Amino acid sequence: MHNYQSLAMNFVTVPAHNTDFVKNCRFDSDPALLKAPYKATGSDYWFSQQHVSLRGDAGLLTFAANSLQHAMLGIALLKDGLPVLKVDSCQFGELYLAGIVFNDDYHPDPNARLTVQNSHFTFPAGTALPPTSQVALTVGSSFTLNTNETVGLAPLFMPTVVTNTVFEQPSTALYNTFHYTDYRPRQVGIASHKLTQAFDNTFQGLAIGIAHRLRDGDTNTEVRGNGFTACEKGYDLVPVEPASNPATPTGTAYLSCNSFVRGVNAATRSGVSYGIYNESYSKVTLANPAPGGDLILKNLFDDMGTGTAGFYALYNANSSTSLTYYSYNNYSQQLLPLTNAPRVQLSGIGPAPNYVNGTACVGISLNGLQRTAVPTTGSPATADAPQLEQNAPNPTQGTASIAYHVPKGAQTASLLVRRGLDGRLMTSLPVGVAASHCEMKLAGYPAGTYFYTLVVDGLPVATRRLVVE
Amino acid sequence: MEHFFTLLFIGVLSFGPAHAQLLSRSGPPVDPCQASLLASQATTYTVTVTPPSGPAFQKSVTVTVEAHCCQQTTAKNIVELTSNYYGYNPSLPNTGDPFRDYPPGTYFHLAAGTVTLDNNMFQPPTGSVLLMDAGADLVLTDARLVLNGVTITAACDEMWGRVHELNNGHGIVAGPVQALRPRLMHSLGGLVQEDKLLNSSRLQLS
Repeated sequence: MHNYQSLAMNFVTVPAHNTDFVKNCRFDSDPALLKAPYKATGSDYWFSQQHVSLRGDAGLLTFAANSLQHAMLGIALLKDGLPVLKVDSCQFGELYLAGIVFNDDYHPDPNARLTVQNSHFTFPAGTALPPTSQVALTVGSSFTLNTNETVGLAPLFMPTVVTNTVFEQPSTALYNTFHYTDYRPRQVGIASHKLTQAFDNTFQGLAIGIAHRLRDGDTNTEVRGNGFTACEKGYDLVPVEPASNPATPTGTAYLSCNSFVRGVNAATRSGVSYGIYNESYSKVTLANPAPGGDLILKNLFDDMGTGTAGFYALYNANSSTSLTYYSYNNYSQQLLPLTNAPRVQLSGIGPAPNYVNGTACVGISLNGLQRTAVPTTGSPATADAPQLEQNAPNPTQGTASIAYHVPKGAQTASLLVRRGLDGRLMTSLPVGVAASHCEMKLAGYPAGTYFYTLVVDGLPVATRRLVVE
Repeated sequence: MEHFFTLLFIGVLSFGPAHAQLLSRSGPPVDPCQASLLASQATTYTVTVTPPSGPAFQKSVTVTVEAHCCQQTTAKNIVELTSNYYGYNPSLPNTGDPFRDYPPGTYFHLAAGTVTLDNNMFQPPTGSVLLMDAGADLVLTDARLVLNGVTITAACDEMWGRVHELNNGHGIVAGPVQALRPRLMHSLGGLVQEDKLLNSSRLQLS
């Protein structure tokens, strides 16, 4: 409490042990209680600079259930050594410049990584950053931070995985329009150059949910199952820095089963909210680049009836670039009025399939296409729709019996099983296109939640939850 | 720091505080250390002087009283640790741990400033308070520091340094004892742990 810095872990050459932990700790500061040389004087005052700093590998250390409040930075990751940190079930609040920041313009070892899960970032409620010179001093010493901006996670070039974490501005009463920077410093959930996975997170009331500096040629980002609600921009492709990177980079990101929701009706809040926004990239493909992967994206976009006067599902700000989005044929038709086409290109695949209500993202998360898509009554896709039933028994041990149906004419079918904890693919099990059920062997599966997906001719058609006891 | 003042006068004195005013501050809240001990941070005293001949006149003086938060004078029965080194010595087995033999709740003042703890396990008693002077460090070398239910804080108005475990240290352990949580307050660097060359080194904070 009231320390300029509370904990420094300098594991530059020797990593943390698995017996190490920092848990149930409270980190906080009150400018009125700091002492000289950081005692409040005149109109200037000080918070903790950072509660925790890390050099090196703390991957085996348990950093869990901690509360970090009232500081310029919550956790500063320093470039020496190999920064590795896993943060679990922590509360971050009133951290004025960043919750967690990798504080250098530096490409760390590829094995560096930041993992954040089950945590909560509550953004500062004030209409301005604290009027203390500490803000400018902190920004001036950083390659990552920006004046008049607060970021939840700013890991820069560190490979980062974020799961089941909330980034929210709880107080949105002062917002009369979606131009949030008129009201308070820009608040960004995640600002990353190297976002590996963002699964099942919530972004609420922020200027930008995810600001992604997709690097030239990147194909490794997967953003799945997240909810972006009442954000000015949900997923924002921001310009690459520094300028040594290609001026017009290209890249591919896989975004599926997310919800982009305006969240507030036009009468309450005017202005435009954007789901996916491209600022300057020359070519962005939003799809799974994996060979044979699922190219169709199943994001939900909800304009709450405003049309483009209040919401763009997809917006490409650069007239000389392209933003390509793959979705179902019928859903693309619904999306088209919510884009600034032709800068945004909505594409199906081959003979584009139609969306069948309730068959996408089921079980993966609460987000995804099934909420608002219009049933395709009478379309070819529904005449002989694929089906996947709930396994029995569930929960189960040893084996699971799964009933399914593959439409006539399909060439291949398989069941993919993913671990619920982290989405890891456990198995890909070919199944007969003419059969109606299979027995899945679960020997060796640890107890827990799994999701199985029926894939027909390379396209996932339905997912169910499976629990192993 | 305490301020004392004397007013000298000639003639009839009307002395107050005839007029006392709490000056407002901009910025953060006032230091609660001051607020808890003093009625105000700054008080203006006005003296009205009526000389035997001529008109009366006034003089004012504003007195700002700084906080008086030095716990070594407010706490009771403080144990003064006067050495800057403590370590296990087979020939002097009772001198290695300065904290042993004291009851729970003891206040210690590390009067020598920076103190090195060496070649031992050091565990201040539960509920004890370590008062650190400005900028002073606790250095652990080949030692473990257990701070269960212990508070480390500044002795006075300036922040102390840090607990610095060198890379040959055996760790820092701090956990609650029933409802009594360990506290580390008013430091510049907090707990600092270097490379863990010894497998016995621990960082266990809860």
